[in-house]
Amino acid sequence: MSLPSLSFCIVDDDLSFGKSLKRLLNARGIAADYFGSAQSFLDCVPPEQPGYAIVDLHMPNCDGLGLLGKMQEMRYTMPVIIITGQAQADARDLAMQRGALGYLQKPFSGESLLELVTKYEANNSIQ
Amino acid sequence: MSWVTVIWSMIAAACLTLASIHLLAWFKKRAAWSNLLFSLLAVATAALAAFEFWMMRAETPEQFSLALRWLHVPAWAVVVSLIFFVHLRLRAGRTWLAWTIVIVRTLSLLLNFLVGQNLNYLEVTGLRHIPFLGESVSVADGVSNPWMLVGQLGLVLTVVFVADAAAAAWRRGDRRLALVVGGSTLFFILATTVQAVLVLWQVIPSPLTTGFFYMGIVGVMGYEITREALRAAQLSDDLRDSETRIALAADSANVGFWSWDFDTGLFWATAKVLELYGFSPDEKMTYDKFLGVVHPDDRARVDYAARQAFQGVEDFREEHRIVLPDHSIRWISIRAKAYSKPSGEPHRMLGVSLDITQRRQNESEMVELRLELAHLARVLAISELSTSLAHEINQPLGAILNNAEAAKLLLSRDKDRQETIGEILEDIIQDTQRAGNIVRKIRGMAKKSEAHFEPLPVDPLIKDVLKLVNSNLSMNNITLQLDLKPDLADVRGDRVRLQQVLMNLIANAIYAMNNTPSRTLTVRSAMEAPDIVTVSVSDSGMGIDKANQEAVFRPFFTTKKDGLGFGLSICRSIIEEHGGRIWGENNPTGGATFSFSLKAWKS
Repeated sequence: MSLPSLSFCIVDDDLSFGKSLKRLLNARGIAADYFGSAQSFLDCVPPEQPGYAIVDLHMPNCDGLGLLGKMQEMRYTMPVIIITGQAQADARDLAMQRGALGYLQKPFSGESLLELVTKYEANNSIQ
Repeated sequence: MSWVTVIWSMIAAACLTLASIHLLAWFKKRAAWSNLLFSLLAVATAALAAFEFWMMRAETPEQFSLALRWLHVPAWAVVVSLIFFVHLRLRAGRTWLAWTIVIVRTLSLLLNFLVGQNLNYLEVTGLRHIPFLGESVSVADGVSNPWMLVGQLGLVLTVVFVADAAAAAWRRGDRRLALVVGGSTLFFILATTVQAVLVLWQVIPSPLTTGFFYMGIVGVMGYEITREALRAAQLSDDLRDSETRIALAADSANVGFWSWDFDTGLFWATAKVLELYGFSPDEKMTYDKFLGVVHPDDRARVDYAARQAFQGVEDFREEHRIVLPDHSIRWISIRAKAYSKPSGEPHRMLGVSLDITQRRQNESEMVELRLELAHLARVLAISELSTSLAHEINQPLGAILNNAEAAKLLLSRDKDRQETIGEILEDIIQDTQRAGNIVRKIRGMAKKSEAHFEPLPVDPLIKDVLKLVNSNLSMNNITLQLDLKPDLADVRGDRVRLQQVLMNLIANAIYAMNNTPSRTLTVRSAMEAPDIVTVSVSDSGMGIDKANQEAVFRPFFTTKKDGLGFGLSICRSIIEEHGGRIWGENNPTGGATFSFSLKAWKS
C-alpha cells in the first residue's frame, strides 16, 4: 500500500484549520477535500466513496458525533477520525464507542494522523 | 345592763376595731393616708360615744358640763379627719375651705375651754331625767352659750365643703363615689347638726346621740375603704393569673424569665432559666454563679454589657455561650432591661433568656455551605476557563502545526532553501507542540474534582440555597414564590454542584430584575416523566434577547457589566456531567425561566 492512494475528507467549521490540514496532506501527495459543515459533506460526498473522514467534534448545528451517526445510518463506507480542540476523556470514549476509527486532539502532527491510518490499513489487509 | 350601755359600748368597740384594722393597713403601706385618716375618724367617734355616754349618766350639772366640754375634743378630731378623708377619697374639694374649717373648729374648741362651762352652755343650771330606750338618762337645763354659733358655722362650712367636693366628683363622672362618700357624709352631718340644735335649744327632750350618727359615717366610709381593698385583692388575683399564663407561654416557647436585684445580687428566675443555665431546680442563682457558667471567652463581654445596662447606657442584649456541667456548649440569647431607683441608682433588671443553640448551629452550617459553594465556584470557573482557553488556543495551534509541516514537506523538494527555512519551520513545529503541551498541562491542573453522585431529595436542596439567598431577595424587594411538588423522586446528583447551579440561576434571576418594578422569583419543581425531575427558576425581569437564546450558555458570553460569562456555562457543564439537560426560555408573561432536568435515582 502506498500513501498517495489514500484520500481524506476534512469536515471542520474552523476554516483556517481545515485549509492547513488539507495543505499538509496535499504536500505529502495525499488527496484531501475540505468541507465547512456536516451538511456540505453529506451533500457532496456519496456514501460509497472510499477514503477517510476527519471530523471536528465541536461544530454548530450538527457536531462530529452527530455526523458520525448520520454516516452510519446512511451506510457510508469511510472510517471516521474525530478531532477536537478540547481535551475531554469522556468524549474520546464516546467517539470510540460509537465506532470512530480514532480520536485526535489538536494540535496533532501529520505523522500521528497517518500512523493511525496505516495501522488500520495494515490490519485490514491482513484480514 | 341597759340598752344605752349596750349600744354605746358597741359603737365604741366597732369603731375601735375598724380603727385598728386600718391603722395596721397604714403601717403596711405608709402612702395610704386615707387609711390613717379613717383610723383617726373611727377612734374619735369612739371617744365621742364615750363622752356622750358619760353625759347621759351624769349625776350632777357639773359632771354633765365637764363631759360636754371634753366631748368637743373628739368632735374636733372627727370633723378634721372627716374633711381630709373626703378630700382624699373624692380627689376633690377646695383646700382653702378645708383649712378654713380647721381654723374655725379649732377656734370653737378654744372658746369651749375659755368661755362658760363649755361651748354649748354658759352654765348648766340643772339636770332632768327623761326616759330614753327604756331607761332614765340625764339631759341639761341651762343658759345657752352664744359662741356656740362659731361651732355651728364650722359644721355649715363642712356641709358646704363636702357638697362642693361631691359635686365635683359627680361632674367628673365618679357618681357612685360622690353619692356614697359625699351623700352619706352630708346626710349624717345634717342629721347630727339638726338633732344637736333641737336638743341644745331644748326643743325636743332627748340626749345627744352624735356618736350614733358619726358611727353611720364611719360605717359607710369603712365599707368604701374596704371595697377598695377587696378590689386590690381581686386585681392581684388577676395579676397572678396572667403571670401564670405568661409563664406557661414562656415555658412552651423555651423562654426563661428572670429578675435580678442589684443590691442583694439575688436572682428570681423561672424553672426554665435554671434549666437553661444548667442549675438544679432548687438552686439559688446569683450573678457570680451566672458568670461562672458563661463561656470564658464570652465572660468579659457579657459582664461589661450587664454593667453598662445598669448604668442605663443601653438595654442588655447579648448572645453568649455557656458551658454546661457535662462540658457541652449551649448558646443563650439574653434580652433585659434595667430599672433604676428614683435616686438614679441601679435597682433591678428584668430579662428573658432563650436557648438559641439550634439557630447558631444552622447559621454555622450555612456559613460552611457558603464557603464550600464559593470554593467550588472558583474551581469550576478556572476549569471552565481553561477548557475554553484550550479549545480556543488549540485550534490555531493545530493550524500552525499543519501549515508548518506542509511547508517543510514542500520545501524539501527545493534543495537550496531547505536548510535555513527548514530549521525555521522545525522550530515552529517544536514550539507549537510545546505550546500544545502547556495547554494540556493547564487543563490537567485545572481539572475539577470528581463529582460525587448520591440519591438526593430536591426539596431540601432548593431550600438550602434559598436560605443563603433570602436576605438578598428581601434586600432587593423580591417576592419569592415556591411551587414545589411534594413526594418527588430523589435525583442522582452531587449536592454541592447542584446547589451551585441553583445559586447561579437565582443570582441571574435577581440580576435580571434589577430594573423591573414587579419582582417575583418563582422556584418550581416537578416530575417531567416517571424518571425525570425538573427544577426551574423564573424571574419577572427583562427576559432573554432572541439573538442570545443560544449564546447564553457559551463561555465568555455575558450581558452583565462586570460578568465573566461563566455562570451558565458552568451550569451547563455541571448538568451535562449529571447526564441532564439545561435550557432557558422567555415566559409568555415576561421575564425568563431557566430549567434543568435530572434523572431520578435508581437503586
